[in-house]
Amino acid sequence: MFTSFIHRFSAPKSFVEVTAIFFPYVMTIGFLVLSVGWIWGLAFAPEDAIQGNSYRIIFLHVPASIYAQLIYFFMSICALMHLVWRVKLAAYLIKAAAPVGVIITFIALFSGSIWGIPTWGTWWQWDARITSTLILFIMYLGIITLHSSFSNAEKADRLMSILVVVGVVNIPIIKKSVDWWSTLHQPASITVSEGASIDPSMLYPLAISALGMGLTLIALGIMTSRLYILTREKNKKWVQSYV
Amino acid sequence: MFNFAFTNLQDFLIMDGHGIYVWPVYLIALVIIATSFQVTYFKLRALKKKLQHASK
Amino acid sequence: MLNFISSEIFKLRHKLRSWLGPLLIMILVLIAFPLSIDISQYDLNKFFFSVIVVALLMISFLATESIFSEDYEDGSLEQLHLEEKDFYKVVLAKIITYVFLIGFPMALIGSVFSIANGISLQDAPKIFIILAASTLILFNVFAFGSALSINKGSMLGVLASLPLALPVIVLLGRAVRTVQYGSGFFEVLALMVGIGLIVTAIMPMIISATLKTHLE
Repeated sequence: MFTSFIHRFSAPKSFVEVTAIFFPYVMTIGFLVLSVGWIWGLAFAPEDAIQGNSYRIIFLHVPASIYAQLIYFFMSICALMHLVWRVKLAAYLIKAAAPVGVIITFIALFSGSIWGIPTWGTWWQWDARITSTLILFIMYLGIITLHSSFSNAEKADRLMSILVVVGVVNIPIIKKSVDWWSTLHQPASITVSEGASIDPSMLYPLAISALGMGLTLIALGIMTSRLYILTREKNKKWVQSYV
Repeated sequence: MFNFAFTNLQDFLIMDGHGIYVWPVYLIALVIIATSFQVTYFKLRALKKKLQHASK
Repeated sequence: MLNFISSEIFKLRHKLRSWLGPLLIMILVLIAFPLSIDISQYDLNKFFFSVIVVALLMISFLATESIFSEDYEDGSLEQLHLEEKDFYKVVLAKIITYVFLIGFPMALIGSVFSIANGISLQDAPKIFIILAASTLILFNVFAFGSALSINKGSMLGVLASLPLALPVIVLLGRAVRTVQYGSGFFEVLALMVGIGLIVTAIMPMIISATLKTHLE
């Protein structure tokens, strides 16, 4: 029963048709929420006692880092669905999500690096979390390169899925890294059990920015998936009648 | 919670010297995100046009 | 399983450049590094181990580059895939052979060079063991990379598998610190060996799935 449910909702055609309906809303709401979060954070949140005003990069950097890893998790779930249940749409979604992942990881690295200049005095530090994010960036590039070097698309899909699942090992290492090595990176100031040690006047714009960025990235992912699905399935009848 | 955290617009841009770090980061991030939306949108449009021509 | 291993040993022994090449290149690299810096200015003992580790990384990749390609090209891989119900045994045999015939000598060379650069003679076996345990992981990871990119050139394989190999490098760095400061070595060694055994158990199955994708 579960497999029939998957097979019913995993047709690329239904994905394209369903997303066409709610994609404009996702994009506009995403932009709005992101703007609210950023404007609140940049203009209305109070100045940090230690870091001064440069801490405002947090409203870009922290959501970007979260989504850099979350997109990889999403890709690994899709990869599992492709390998175990042979869902083709899942492979299309991996291929579409990878560029989004590259972009957001680059933004995370870049914003963190520039944030480091006023805060730590250096724009790069070889500590565990930063290096793991750099490794994540290279992994995204490796996945894209792997898929594009095979002319047989089904083979490329399967190999890419295998690589994504194997690479998911890197993600827990990023999580544990702040505990394993003593680093310059600030220890996590939001933990689920203890409650936030960050002031609410900064936490709310952070949460809103994270939500907005998530919706924006989902919208971008939907766009790239639609593009890729239509490219891959362009010889099918439903595509001819869709356009 | 909702007081404007700076005295005037000049201060907002400079942010006690930290503005030169904060603003370029946000602007570059916005440019990157906007460009990716634009590029994908144009590619989608071109693909639809090509498929329409092909089906005729 | 044993006849797979014996056939792999046979193949490797007769293809001298696959076996001896990586070892000689490692020796060359470890000689070349001190030649390239002003040894009067730098205390080599402090960081020579990282040169050994990086050389080990690169040469492990080099050694496993052609682990599957020759068999793939002449069709014997496909033949084995058709004959053998548990294809991962073939992969496991190949990897074990390479680790013992190439990886452990590399670890030996690395530990000899580390004696020349600050590690005391009684600590050298520790270095050998930790490097040998790390080659177990590295060869598995790079064999996976080579299986992914079987006739698309080696660069793709490196790009795919290097991120998986970097945590091993971090662990090796931690290991040498425990050797230099005298405590905590066995914890790191246990971690390395444990991870190595888990990786050796799981990776051949993943590699065989990858090779099956290529063979279809």
